[in-house]
Amino acid sequence: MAAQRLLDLDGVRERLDNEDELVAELARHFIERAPGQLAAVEAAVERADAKALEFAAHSFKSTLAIFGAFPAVAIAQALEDLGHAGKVDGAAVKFTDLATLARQLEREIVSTILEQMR
Amino acid sequence: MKTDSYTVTLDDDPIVSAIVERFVGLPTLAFSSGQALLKRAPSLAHPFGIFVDIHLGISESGLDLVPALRELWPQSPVIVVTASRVEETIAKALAAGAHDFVRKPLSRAEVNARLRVRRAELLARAARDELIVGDLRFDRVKRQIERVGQQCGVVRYLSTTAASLLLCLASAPGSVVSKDELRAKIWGRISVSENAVRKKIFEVRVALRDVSEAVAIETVYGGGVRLTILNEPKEEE
Repeated sequence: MAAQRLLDLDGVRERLDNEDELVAELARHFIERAPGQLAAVEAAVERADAKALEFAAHSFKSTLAIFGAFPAVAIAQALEDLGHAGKVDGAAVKFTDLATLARQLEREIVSTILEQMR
Repeated sequence: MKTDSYTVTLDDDPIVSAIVERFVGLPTLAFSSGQALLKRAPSLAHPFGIFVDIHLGISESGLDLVPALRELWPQSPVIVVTASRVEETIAKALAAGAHDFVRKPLSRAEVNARLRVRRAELLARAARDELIVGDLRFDRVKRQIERVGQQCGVVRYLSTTAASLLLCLASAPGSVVSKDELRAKIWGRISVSENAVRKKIFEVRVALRDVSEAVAIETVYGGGVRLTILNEPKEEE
């Protein structure tokens, strides 16, 4: 089975009516916001704070969803669900996967959107 | 900001406001907390629409604000924004009083379609529920009267019977309605004294006087009563 794409750029452009300026604005927003959101998820996992994990994962999921980053969205959703159930078991492993994907996503957004706009 | 010239967003992610502004093509007034929005809202005109995120923080839900927003701006659709795929979340949003919902990631076509359809429905409903007579707006559902164009002006609430009486007269302003006709239309087969009818007319008359400068109940001796609108030509009897 083919691996899911890191981000769905065609889908993003379609939802935004191919408005390049808005796509770039969202890309800049992602680059600014994602590290802080990821750090909030990490902090919640380290503190074993399920409630904070639910909220932080949900917030990050919203940002990831803007780019149709489905593999990362799925992990963020799993972390949110864990937090919602009041649990943090296995959250550290999921967080590591999420952080890896988020870094790849950041690089891809820079190379496929922001550098193209220059 | 003027009525309908802007939208309101309530979301802790500032990008949502930017996206909505671009999609709808109207300026957006962005709030990140419910408290800030509720504090400011009474001084604002009706927005074209309101977009409310469900998850505003660890302990704040946008859904808690929906009833208050509907009360403040009855003609502005409240659209809930959610990243959740869970149907239960949508059900909760609609149960809280949201007119519709959109899922993140937002799509221009979906945002505009849902916003405009819900808005058209609200305006159509308001037109059905409202009766405008002279400078008076009468909301038949809320049984409320107020002066047209005065958003924070005097408002009077009528009893069920008083509202029926006003509706009866306002349905045909200028036409004389006899007291027997009023009795039949408002009380039906219930026997009502002359004094009770007079008291009810007086109750409506006082309410009208409080809110309107142009609409009044006039007694036509030997005939009954009619609703008159000042500065409007009367039909010849």
